[in-house]
Amino acid sequence: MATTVEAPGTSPIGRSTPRVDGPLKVSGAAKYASDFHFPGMLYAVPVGATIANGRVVKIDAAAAEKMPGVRKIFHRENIGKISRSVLGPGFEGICDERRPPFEDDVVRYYGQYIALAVADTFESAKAAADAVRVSYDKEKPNVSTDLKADDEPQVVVTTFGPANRVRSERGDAAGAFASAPVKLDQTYVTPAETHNPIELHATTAIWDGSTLTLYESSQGVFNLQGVLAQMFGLPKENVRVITKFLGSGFGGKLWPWTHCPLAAAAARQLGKPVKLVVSRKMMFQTVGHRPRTQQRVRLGAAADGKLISLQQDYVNDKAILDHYHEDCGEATAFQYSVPNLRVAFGRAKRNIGSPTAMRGPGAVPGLYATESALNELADQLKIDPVQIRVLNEPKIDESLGIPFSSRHLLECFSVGAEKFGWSKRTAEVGSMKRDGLTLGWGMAGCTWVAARFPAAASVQLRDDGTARVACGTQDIGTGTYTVLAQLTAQRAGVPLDKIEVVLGDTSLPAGPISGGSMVTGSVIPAVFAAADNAIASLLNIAVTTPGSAFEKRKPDELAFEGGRVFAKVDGVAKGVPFADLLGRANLRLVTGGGEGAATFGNPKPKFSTQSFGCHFVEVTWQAEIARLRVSRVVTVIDAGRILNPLAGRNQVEGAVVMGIGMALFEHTTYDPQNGAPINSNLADYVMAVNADVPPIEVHFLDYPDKEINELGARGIGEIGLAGIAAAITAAVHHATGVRVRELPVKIEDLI
Amino acid sequence: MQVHRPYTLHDALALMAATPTPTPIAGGTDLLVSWHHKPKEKLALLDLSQLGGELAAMRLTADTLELGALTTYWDVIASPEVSRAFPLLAEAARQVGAMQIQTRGTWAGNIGNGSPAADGVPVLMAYDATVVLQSTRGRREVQLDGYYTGYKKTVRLPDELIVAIQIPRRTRKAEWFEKVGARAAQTITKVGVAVVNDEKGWRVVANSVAPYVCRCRNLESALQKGQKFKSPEEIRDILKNDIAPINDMRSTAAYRETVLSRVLFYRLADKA
Ligand SMILES: Cc1cc2nc3c(=O)[nH]c(=O)nc-3n(C[C@H](O)[C@H](O)[C@H](O)COP(=O)(O)OP(=O)(O)OC[C@H]3O[C@@H](n4cnc5c(N)ncnc54)[C@H](O)[C@@H]3O)c2cc1C
Repeated sequence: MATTVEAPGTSPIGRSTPRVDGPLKVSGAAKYASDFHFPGMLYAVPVGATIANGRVVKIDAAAAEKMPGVRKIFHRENIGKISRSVLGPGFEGICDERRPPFEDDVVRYYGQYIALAVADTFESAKAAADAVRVSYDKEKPNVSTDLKADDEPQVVVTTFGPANRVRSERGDAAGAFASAPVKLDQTYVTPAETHNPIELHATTAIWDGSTLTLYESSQGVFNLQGVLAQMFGLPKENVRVITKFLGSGFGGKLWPWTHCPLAAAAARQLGKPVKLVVSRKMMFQTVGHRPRTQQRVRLGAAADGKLISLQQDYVNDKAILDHYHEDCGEATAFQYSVPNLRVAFGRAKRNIGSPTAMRGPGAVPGLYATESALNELADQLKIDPVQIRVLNEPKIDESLGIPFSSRHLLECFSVGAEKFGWSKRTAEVGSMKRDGLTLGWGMAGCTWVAARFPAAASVQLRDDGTARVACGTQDIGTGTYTVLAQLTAQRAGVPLDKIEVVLGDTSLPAGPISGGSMVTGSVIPAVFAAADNAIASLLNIAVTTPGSAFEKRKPDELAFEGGRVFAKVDGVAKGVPFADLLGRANLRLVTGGGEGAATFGNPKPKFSTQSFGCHFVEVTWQAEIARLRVSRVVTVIDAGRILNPLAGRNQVEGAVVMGIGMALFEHTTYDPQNGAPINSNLADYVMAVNADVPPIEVHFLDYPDKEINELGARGIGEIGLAGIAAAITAAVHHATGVRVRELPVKIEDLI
Repeated sequence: MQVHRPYTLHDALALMAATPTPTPIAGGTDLLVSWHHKPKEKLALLDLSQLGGELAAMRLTADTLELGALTTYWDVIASPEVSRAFPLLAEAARQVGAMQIQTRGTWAGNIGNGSPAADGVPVLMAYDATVVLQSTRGRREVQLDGYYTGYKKTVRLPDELIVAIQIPRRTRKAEWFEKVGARAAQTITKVGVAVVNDEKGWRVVANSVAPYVCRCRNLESALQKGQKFKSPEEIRDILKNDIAPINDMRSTAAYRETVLSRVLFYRLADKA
C-alpha cells in the first residue's frame, strides 16, 4: 500500500508545508475584497423585494433621498444601461443569473434587488435603503418542495448541462429492472443548502475614465472580467478584477452576481468608488445556493448483489429565468459496473434565486442518493456494504468505454475498513453498544472528476536571489499561494521563503477559476513551463555575458539545479547562483511565461480521470434523550499525488465537517406564503460547529496520476464531501433502524 | 436614535422615568441581533455598561448569592466559589452561545429578553431566584417564578430596572440541568430542563415548551409525594397539564414533549 510519506531530501513537493500566507492572515494584514478603502468612497446597500412573485408598481424614494449623507437612490429608471452578457466558448461569460439587475419591473424571487441606496457611510446607506417604500402587484409565489420534472418542456443547454434529458444510457435499464430478481426503488431528497462562507460577497468598484477596477470576492477573476466588460460594453482589457484573498466561496463566488454590476453602475454615475457588501440575510437570497434535489433511484440486482440495472431520475429546482442543472448523474454512469443504466433529469421552475454550484456540485447530492441506494440494497440482501461495492467494481469506465487513468477504490475500501475496524461490525440494527450508547456504523464510496483547466503563469528569477511566480487564479483559502510557492521552489531551486506569489488579478497571466478542485492540477504545467523558460533565458545570459564563468559554453552544455547554473561536465558543486549571473549581466531579473492546456471537456479522452475514496462513519445514539452524534470518521482518498499533505488533509477534514452539516443540520427553507428563505441567519441555518466535529482520520493513497500532469496530482477540494452524507445516514439506520431518505436527518424523526 | 449613558444608578433610574422610556441595554447580545431590522428614529437606549459598582458585583454570603444586573455568564464560570455553590449556573452558562456571548451576555438580560428558549432562566428559577427591581419610586423583590405573565410579557413596570438577582443557599438533594439542541454547541434549545430538590421541595423548570420558561407544578407535586415513575409516558401524562409546546422552525411539539419526559424519566431514575 502506498500511503503518504513525507518526501525525502529537500524537495518541497509532497512535504507538509504550512500556509505561506498564514502570517498575513493571522495578523490581519491579508486584504479581502471589502477591506479596501479609497478616498471619497461611497457605500451602497441594495433594497431587496419583499415579495417573490409579482411586479414593482412604485418605488417611493423621496424620504430616503432626503436623509443625511445620502447621494442617490438608484432604481430601474435611473441606473443607466446595464446590458446582458452571453456565454462564450470555453470558460467565457458564465453567470447563473443572466438577467442584469433592474432590467424589468418583474419580481421573480424574494430579495431580488429593486433599488440601491448609496451614501457617504454604510449606516446612512442602510438607513436610506430601509426608508425606500415599494408597492407591488403581488402574486402567490411557487416555492413548492415537491419537484416535478415536466415543469420544463424543453431542455435548455447550459454551461455544464447535457443537451439531452437523458444524461447517460446503456443497455435496457427498464427491461432489466422489470426482470431483476432483487429490486430497490426509493426516492432521496436533498434540501436547498446555502454556501455561507464567512466572508460576505463584496464588490468595490472604481472607474477611471472608461476603465473599471473591481475589488471583488471572486473565485474566477477572468470570467468576471469578461461578464462585466459585456455588461458595460467595454473592451475586456478595460476591466480589471482583483481578489487577493477570499474568505472562502464553496462555489458561491465562482460566477458574478447582480450586486457586482450594481456597484459598478452606481460608481459610474457618481464618479466615486462604491463599495457594496452583501448582508448575511441577502446571502440566502441573491448569491446562489445548492438547489433542492429529488432523486428516484431504481436498482435491479441478482441475488448475490451483482447489479443488473440502475436508473436514476433526478429533478432540481431552479429560478424562473435561468436553467441551472444540478448534475446528480455525474458519477452514476461510471462508479459501479452495471450493464443496463439510464440517468435522466428534469428541472422544476420555482420563485427562488438561481441555484449555483456548491462544493461538489452534482456528484455530492447524486452520490448521496446512489450510495444510499446501494447501502439499502446491501441491507436487503444481507450483504456487507463494502462487499457489495467490491462485487460491482468496474474494470473500465463503462460510460465511456475507456480505462481509468488511475483507480484504487478497492484499496480505499480495504484501507478504510482496516483502519476503522469494520470487521467487528455486527449487522443487526442497534446491536452495537459502548458505554451505554448505541453505536451505528456506516460507510459509502465517493468520487470526483479530475481534469485541467487552461492556465498560464509567469516566473521571474531576480538578482537578489528571490523568485516571483504570478498567476491570475485565486486562493480561496485552500492553500493555492502555498502550492504555487512549492512548485516554483521545486523547479527553480529557490527556498520557499524567497518566493513571492502573486495571485488574484486579471492583470496577471490568465489563471483558472478556483473550482472543480482543479487549480493545483491545472497550474503545474504552466508554472513548470514558466520556470523552465526563465531558466532557459538565464542559461543564454550565462553564455553571452562577458566575464561569466560559462562564457565559452553553449546553453545545452549547462544545467540548472538548486538555484545554480553549472556546466554539466563540472557538476552542480561548481555552479554559480543565478543572482550572481544576473548581477554580472546588469540584469534585475529574467522572466519566463508558461501555459498549460485544458483537458476538461475533452470530447475524446483516452482515459477516464477521476479521484476516488470512501468514508467509514460511527454515530452514537442515546434513544433516551434523542441525542445523535457523529463520533468517528475514517476517510481514505485516492487523489493522485498529494503535493502538500498538511493542506490536503485539511481540505478533506473540512469537507467531512461540511458533510456532517449536510447530513444532520443544513437546509434552507422557503416560506410558502411570501417565498422568503426563513432561516436566513447563522443562528437558524444550523451548521456543524467545533463541538460536533469528531476525530477524523484521513488517509491518502499516494498514487501519482501522470495523465493529469507530470507530478500526478489530481485535486482534493471537493471529493471529501461526496459520499459522507450517505455513510452517516447508513450509520444512523444501523443505530436506530430509521431510514432517512430526506436530508437533513432530524432527531425529531428518530424517536 | 438616542443613547443615554448614565454613570450612576440614580441617574439611570431618573432616565428610566422619562418619556419616552428608554430600552435598557446590557451586553446587547439579544438587542443587537435584530438591530438592522429595527426602525431607529424613535429608539432610545439606556446603556448600562458604565454603572459598574453594585450592578457588576457578585456577592456570595452564607445564605445568599446576589448577582448584580451586569453579571455575565463568564463571571460565574470564572468564579470557582460561585460555580461550586451553584453548579447549575456554571453548567448552563457554559452552554450559552460561545465564549464571546458568555463574556458579554448578562443573566439579567437573559431574564429581561423573556425568550421561552432562554437557558439562564431555568437554572435561576430552579434555584428559586428572586428578581430585584428598582425605580425612582423604590425597590421591590419579585419571585422569578412569578415574573412572566405571557410570551415576552413580565411584571416589570416600564420605569423599572432589574438591579440584581438573589438566590438562596440551601441544602440540595438533587440538581441537574439538560439542554437539547440540534448540534453539540452554540445551539438554540429545542427543549431544556433544570431540576432542583432542596429543603423547600422539588422545582422542575422547563424551557422551549411554553410561551415562557415555566415550572412544571404537577410533576413537582408528584415528586413531592414521592411518586416513582415506571415509564417516560407516565411523566408525559403528568406534563400535559404543565407545558404547551408548539411546532416551529426549530422542532415539533411531539418531540419536545417526548424528549422532555424521557430526559426527566432517565435522569430522575438516576438521582431520585
Ligand atoms: C450568537 C448568540 C448565541 C446565543 N446563545 C444563547 C444561548 O445559547 N442561550 C441563551 O439563553 N441565550 C443565547 N443568546 C441570547 C443572549 O446572549 C442572552 O439571552 C443574554 O443573556 C442576553 O444578555 P445581554 O446582557 O446581552 O442582554 P441585552 O441584549 O443587553 O438585553 C436583552 C433584553 O433585556 C433587557 N435588559 C437587559 N438588562 C436589563 C436590566 N438590567 N433591567 C431591565 N431590562 C434589562 C433589554 O432591554 C433587552 O430587552 C445568544 C445570543 C447570540 C447573539
